[in-house]
Amino acid sequence: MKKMPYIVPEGYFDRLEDRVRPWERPARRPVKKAVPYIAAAAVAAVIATGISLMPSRQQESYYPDIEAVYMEYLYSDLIPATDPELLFYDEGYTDSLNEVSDAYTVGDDELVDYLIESGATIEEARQIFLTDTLEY
Amino acid sequence: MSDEEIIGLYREGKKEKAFNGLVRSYGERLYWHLRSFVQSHEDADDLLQEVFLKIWNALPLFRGEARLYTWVYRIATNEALNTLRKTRLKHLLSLSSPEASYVAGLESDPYFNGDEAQKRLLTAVCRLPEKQRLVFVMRYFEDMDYKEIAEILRTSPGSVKVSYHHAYVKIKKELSEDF
Repeated sequence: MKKMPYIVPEGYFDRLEDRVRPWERPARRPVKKAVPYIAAAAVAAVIATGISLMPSRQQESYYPDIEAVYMEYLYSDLIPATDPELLFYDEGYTDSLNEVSDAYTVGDDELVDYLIESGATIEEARQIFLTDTLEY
Repeated sequence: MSDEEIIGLYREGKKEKAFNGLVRSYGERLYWHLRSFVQSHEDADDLLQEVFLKIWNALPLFRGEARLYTWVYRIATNEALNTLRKTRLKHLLSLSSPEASYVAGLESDPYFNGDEAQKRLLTAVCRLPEKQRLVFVMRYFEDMDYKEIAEILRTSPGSVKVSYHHAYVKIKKELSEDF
């Protein structure tokens, strides 16, 4: 090894073993080192919260005044009894719901596989195939 | 103490004894490995302590897949790289030149006992990109062979040779411009 153009204090390497005792070192507290990062994160969080709370003009024009719509239909019989939430959606939304449900219908083969894997009894399987609608 | 003895002691549960053996075996080599990446003896001492702390914490994870020597050097090299990056960032944020700071440090360092040519050599080494600097220091000052350096840096001996060649050419050019 070529000698580097440095010297060390006398006895430095002899005393190294006595000085390097990591089992005596107290556990590092990351808090002090993390403080600047925590502060920066806190500032970012405050700014993000402020931005999210700012009213958006676009939002107001897109969503109707929910309170007003609800009051209008409160005593009418137009609220669907089975799914009151549908009141707040237009026809396009419900059409799209049907498209989605068509895409996710379960075929008979898939149903059979599921029943086998789930360990359903024959009686339970018959019940499912013979009934047209599910009973709650 | 050999690597096998150190590992044997550790596995017998004599952890502190094993660690002391490790410090005795590698302390001086690791110090010189780190010395060229920092500005002062005090920085090198601090860095060495950090390296040994990391080694102590990582010893339970040592599986013996690499040689102990390679593993220990790899930890020290990673710490040296982290130090280089922190120093570079510090100088970037303060809009100062790391090379100018290094030269000023050499001139005021009571533990530097080299001549003008060695000062120029160390300054030229300081200007190398990280990997080339590492490879040059390990090859030129520490006399490691390419295979050893490749194992420590987890690269191929061919890549190490190329890095060393580039570093050598740059330093030679810089030093020849000075004279």
